[in-house]
Amino acid sequence: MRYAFFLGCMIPLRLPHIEKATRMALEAVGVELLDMEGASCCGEPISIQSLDREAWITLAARNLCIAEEMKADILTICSGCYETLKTANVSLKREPSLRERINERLSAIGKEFRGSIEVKNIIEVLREVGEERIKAHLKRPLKGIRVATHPGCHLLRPSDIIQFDDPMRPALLDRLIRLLGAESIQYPKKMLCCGAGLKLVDLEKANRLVEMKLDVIEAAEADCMVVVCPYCMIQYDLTQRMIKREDKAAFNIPVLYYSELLSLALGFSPSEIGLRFHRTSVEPLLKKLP
Amino acid sequence: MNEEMPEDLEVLIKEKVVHCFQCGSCVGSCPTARAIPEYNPRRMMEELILGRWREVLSGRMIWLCTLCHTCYEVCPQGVGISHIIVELRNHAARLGLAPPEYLNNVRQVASTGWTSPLTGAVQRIRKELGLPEVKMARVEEVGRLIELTELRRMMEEKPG
Repeated sequence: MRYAFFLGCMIPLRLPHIEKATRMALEAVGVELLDMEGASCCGEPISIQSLDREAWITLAARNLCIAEEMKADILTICSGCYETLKTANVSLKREPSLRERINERLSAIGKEFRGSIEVKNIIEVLREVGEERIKAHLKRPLKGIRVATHPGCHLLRPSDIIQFDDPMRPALLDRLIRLLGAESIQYPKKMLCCGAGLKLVDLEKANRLVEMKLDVIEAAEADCMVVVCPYCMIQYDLTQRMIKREDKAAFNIPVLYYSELLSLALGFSPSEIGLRFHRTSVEPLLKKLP
Repeated sequence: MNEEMPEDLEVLIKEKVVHCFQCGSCVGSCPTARAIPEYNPRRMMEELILGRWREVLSGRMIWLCTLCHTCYEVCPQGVGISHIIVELRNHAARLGLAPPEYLNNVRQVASTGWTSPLTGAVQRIRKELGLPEVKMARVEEVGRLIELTELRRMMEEKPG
């Protein structure tokens, strides 16, 4: 099982500890990660999609071409990259006239989109690895740990393009939490967006969305929150430290990327996967680990 | 704004937006509306149907959507509101009405290939974790492609 490993910008350049945990966990369960020479920003789903949708598809198509040359499907670990690359891949396969326009641009750099690969997210790839195989590698089942999952938006929607899990009632991330021996708790506002897409134009209101979510997760007495996107991670882990509540103490909810929780269950130590680089301390969770 | 309605915006309104029957499912499920009560995608669709596209394109509302695509899923009429908002933003950007923060992001991608700079602090953390050095993007290819899109003109018009 081998994949063209598309890192994007946020994880290697801002949250490298997530890259570390992801590499260690995926390799441990038998996924070979191939580095993509010359890959760039996916195409950028917020600014560039909003300014010129075809420019967004064009930049994404260049990255798709690199994986096509490697004859490998793409594994993305950022939901922004996933939406971008998947939208480009599906649209270019579906719409011949779009493909013609984009390929004309790509010819300026000697590339051509052929439509020969697929774009997958980390949950999708772990499902392909299979629950039995992952289970066989678990060294520290996370019994008694209460996890609030935040699947996030672009892992799931728009569903006619993404075609992964139920767009409004997803279950696959929760299933992978239970596989590790932990409990995936139900909580209100589970599908509420992290607000990253609002940050550029209204930071205060974007932070308000973070606060709404953390309020209900705190009330649900979760031991940690689990995300699968670096934008969501920055919103909940870093922004959490900036939120001052009038009548209550500061939030203290550990936020982990799924591969970090998986790494712990696989027996890797918190220090080798760099959990100390989180902005909100993960110590309360580590103390509860069996 | 004195421009005539762009042809593809007219098609978008006639073929998609007109199907909106103003039920408000979009507002009820919208994260931005929870944080900003005056944000209302239903009303935005109404404005377009009533011909007030100039006000919609030049207003702040279209830039407040998080693009979470929840309205896209819940709309009983299949209007595809989040996709319409992307189209509206594209039209506004062509008219020079995009927020400068968006254009700055494009400049960053055009000059480095990434949305974020590679800082010394992150390089040190990568080394400490035993991660390989970050592979450089082929920025000349990214820049060349951006030159072939409408982004080029947008960046020229609104420096800084």
